[in-house]
Amino acid sequence: MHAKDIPLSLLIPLMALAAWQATSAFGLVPAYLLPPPAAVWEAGLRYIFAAAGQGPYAGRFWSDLVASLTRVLLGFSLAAALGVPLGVVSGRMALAHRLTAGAIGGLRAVPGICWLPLAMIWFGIGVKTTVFLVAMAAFFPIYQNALTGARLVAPIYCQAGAMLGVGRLRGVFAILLPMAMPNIIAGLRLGMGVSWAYLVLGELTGVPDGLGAVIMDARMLGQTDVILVGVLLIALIGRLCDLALVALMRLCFKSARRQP
Amino acid sequence: MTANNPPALLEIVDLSHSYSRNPGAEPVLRRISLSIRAGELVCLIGRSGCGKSTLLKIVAGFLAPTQGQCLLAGKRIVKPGPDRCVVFQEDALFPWLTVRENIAFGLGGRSGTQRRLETERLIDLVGLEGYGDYLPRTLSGGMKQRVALARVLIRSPQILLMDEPFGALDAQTREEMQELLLRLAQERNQTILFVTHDVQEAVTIADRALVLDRDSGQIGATVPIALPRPRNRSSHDFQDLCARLHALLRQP
Repeated sequence: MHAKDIPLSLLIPLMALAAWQATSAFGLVPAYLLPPPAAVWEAGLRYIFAAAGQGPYAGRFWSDLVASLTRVLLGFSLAAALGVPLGVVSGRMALAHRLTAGAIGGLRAVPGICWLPLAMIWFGIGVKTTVFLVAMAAFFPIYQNALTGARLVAPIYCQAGAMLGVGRLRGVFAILLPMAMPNIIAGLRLGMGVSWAYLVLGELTGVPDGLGAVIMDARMLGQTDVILVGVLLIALIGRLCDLALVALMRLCFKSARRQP
Repeated sequence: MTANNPPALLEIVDLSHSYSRNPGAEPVLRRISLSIRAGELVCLIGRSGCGKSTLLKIVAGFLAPTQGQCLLAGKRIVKPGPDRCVVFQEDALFPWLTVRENIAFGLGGRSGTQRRLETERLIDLVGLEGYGDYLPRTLSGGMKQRVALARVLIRSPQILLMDEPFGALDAQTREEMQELLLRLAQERNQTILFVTHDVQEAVTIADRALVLDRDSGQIGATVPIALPRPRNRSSHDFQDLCARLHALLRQP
């Protein structure tokens, strides 16, 4: 995103904020269902900046952030470490594709939430369950896009490599992966988005910390403002993770920097 | 074979190819035999669909023939290799590499300094001075083909294979590229097999034109083009040869 796009991209959030403010000001919806923006803003400041002990959620943000971020990054890394190589291999080798397509297609058909009970039995309540759920969910978009990207590499590029004396292994790293890079990045970004969704699911199950846990906890205590703080923070952090992911890929790979 | 007839560099022996595995299917190429001497520039002309690109792919090693074989300097061709590099019709440059990196791509493992010197030499040779840091998508079609030429010449192939490389260029650029190619071919005594459907192009550049016949899948005619260089397109002899090749292409 360029700097000149920022004002335009803020237009819809600002309009939503204005509508929200109007709804509260005219009393269209009672405050226990939808607290006014100012109350949510104050709850947010308390949650992020207040010293611990000055209220039920005061100052918890940083430890929640570390807990959630760790779970997301672990699950996402696991999914990427499996999804990209498996996808690329399946996209290029018919045998590998035939071997894995059935199993992976079957697993994909299972909604991610179905793994929750099993994960709780296997891993108990805590980091492992959440990481497992995140990895399960993020794997499929990463795998599928890597597969498509690898499959779409036109034979002419492989031929060009072969005639220039590039062997099979160097061909994978010097031609195949860079050519498939736009699709691989698209898959990773989708996977990152899904990771945050399943993080919250994993944290709704009774772990003591994390942004999802805060949301669930605030619901039990009827603290709608804190729920909204959690939702808005997840939106913000999710977006920042996406930007960081793209920036990291562009930093590490020429093919990510130089292709649209 | 006389003494001033050097031995063949490329030899195609009784080669047939069919895209269908069905033994009754019509082959695209039928029992073709031909040979190209070192330093010769041979144009393979034919109408679209006659199999001229197929023959080039077989020589490149991208495609295994159904029958027969190709020999380069007496060695049988079984897979692609830097001794037979192709300039494709379409853009096959690596889009994430700059002009300089594309040209250096085939140099793989050599040392840094030698690699740099060699790359700069090739950039100058094909007239891309100042464009080393450009990405392919920012270049015109003619410039892209200059890069494509440089990245294969850097491997010093024994034979250069060209698959309608200037077919997508405008007339002006095409003439410039033909002149560049002729200059390089002469300087390096480069052997070239050049596929085209453009009769004018063949008469402009070739030492010899082979007409591939679509219906029979065979070389219908071999036409030596002994015009002095540089060739004058408006000369009577030039026009005569064009007319003759046209007539050969039109034959049923």
